[in-house]
Amino acid sequence: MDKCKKGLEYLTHKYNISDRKYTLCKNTIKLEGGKEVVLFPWRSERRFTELKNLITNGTMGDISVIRICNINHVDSSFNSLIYRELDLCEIFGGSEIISIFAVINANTANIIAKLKNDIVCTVEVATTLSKGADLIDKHEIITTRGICCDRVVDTQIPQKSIYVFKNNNVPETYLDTDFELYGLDPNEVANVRCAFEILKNEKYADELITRDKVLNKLVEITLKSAKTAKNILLEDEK
Amino acid sequence: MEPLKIAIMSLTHGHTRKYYQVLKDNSKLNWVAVSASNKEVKDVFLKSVEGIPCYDTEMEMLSAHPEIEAVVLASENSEHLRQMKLCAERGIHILSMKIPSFDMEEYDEIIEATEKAGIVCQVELELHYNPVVNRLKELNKNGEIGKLLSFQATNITLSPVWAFPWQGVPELSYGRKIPLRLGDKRCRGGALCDHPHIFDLIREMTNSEFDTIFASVAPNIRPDLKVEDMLTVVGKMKNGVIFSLDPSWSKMEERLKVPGPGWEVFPKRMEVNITLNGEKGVIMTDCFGPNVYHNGSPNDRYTVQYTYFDEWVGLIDEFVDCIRNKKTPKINLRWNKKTIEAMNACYDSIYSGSVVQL
Repeated sequence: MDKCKKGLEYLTHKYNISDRKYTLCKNTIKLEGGKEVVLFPWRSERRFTELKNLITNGTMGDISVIRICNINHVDSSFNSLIYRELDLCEIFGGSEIISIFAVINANTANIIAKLKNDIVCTVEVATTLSKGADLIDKHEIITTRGICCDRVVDTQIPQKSIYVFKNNNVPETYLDTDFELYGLDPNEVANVRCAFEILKNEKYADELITRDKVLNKLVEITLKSAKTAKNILLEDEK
Repeated sequence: MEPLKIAIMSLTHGHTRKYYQVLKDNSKLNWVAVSASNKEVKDVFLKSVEGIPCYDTEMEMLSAHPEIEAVVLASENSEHLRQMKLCAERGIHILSMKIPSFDMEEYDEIIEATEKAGIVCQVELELHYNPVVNRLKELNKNGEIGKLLSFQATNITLSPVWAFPWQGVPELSYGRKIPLRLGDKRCRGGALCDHPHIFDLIREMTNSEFDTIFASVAPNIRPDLKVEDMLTVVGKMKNGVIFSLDPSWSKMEERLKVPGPGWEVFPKRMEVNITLNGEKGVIMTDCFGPNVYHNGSPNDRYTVQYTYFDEWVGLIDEFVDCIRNKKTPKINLRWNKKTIEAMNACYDSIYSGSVVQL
């Protein structure tokens, strides 16, 4: 956490917004005046920015399906995974979710979310990885002009920039993605970048506060769908 | 701190466009103007950037903006000596493109002119500001794999000559027309001139200098070029570390006039991969990966969409810091000279067919 605070201090100083008062917490940032904003770090991950750019700049065609997989650590928050990936569905799809069907078994869930613009999203999440294992996720967007994805063809797990093979059989790996925030892991980088965006732009803070409410509702509906075995239309839940 | 008043000169170098964003975003900079060497690059610039005055000559720009404190010298290699002298006379600090000059007498003239003027001249070897390279250097320095035994690196790209024609003209790229070998129609000035990075990084990471170099040029995969596009280099550093370096243009490209989507034929247009073998293990590094991938427009080919490009941010930060705080850049002219000498040794080895001892 200290590294993140230092990283954020560095950015605010470098980009001349060091006059803003704030408190950076694990998943939120508290702003002057009492506003507390949930961090959406994935929105600051450059791989997602690039994927979104490919969709909006015309490189890809019209989206048919968004396929997402996310397998996280056993001690991580299951609901948070659903929250994050449903947010990404709407970001990539450029439309809001209108229905959700989910099946859940213990700490695994498979979800079909349909967007208002007819795009179908498949979200497979689980918190089944042992602690310390490298996180696994994949975001694949299938369009009329091809596929864009954050994982390279012919691989099942995320690649790293550096592999160090020493005495044991399992290589140590490194993934450094940000020169200005060197030393932070990619998740920490994303947290700091998101906090920095919030500090730069008050409207973004308000947008995220609103968004948090929407996504909490979507998670609630997902759990309800699994419990009732029903495809739930969001308009019925209003 | 007063923002540094900076300009870009020439706009003909392939890295020019990399600076647009960082010159706009960095609050330590005040981007004042640019000068264009020709109409083509001017048109490209005007389509890419708004609000920055673009002059037809560097003299016109310097006269209109005497406040300019520093320039990014984004020109062909053959222009560097003249332009650097021009800047030195005016006390303007210089961020030089990666090859100040291949002519070692010229190179010394540049050192003399810039040192006499007391200006900062930083050579743009941007990989030093790549976070993956940072990590690799740290792992190596900490002795993670013990004593280093060998260093293997690729610095392979597509050929930029269709967009930046001077890179295919020996006189503009290498500075002179020297045949690669007796009887060879091709001349010095191609892929090797484009790829100094691995020749530089190995010096820092081995903390040693080149001892022997043997280089071999292969048949061009673009037979119409007047310069080399495929070559390979092996040898030994003075501390015994052996190396294998590939500075080729081995990724085929579409012959676009302006770089943009669809440039790649091979999915990944630029790769710097480094493998270190040590007494206690191995480190494998992809300096530009992982990324995101697509097979969309314009050619529906599987393509790497580069995702993490930070080099220009750190590079400019160092440049400003050196100017404002009177520091010497890490990649300064004197340090870089031995890198250029090693690259020249590659050409000498190709010409003679022999091992070159440095």
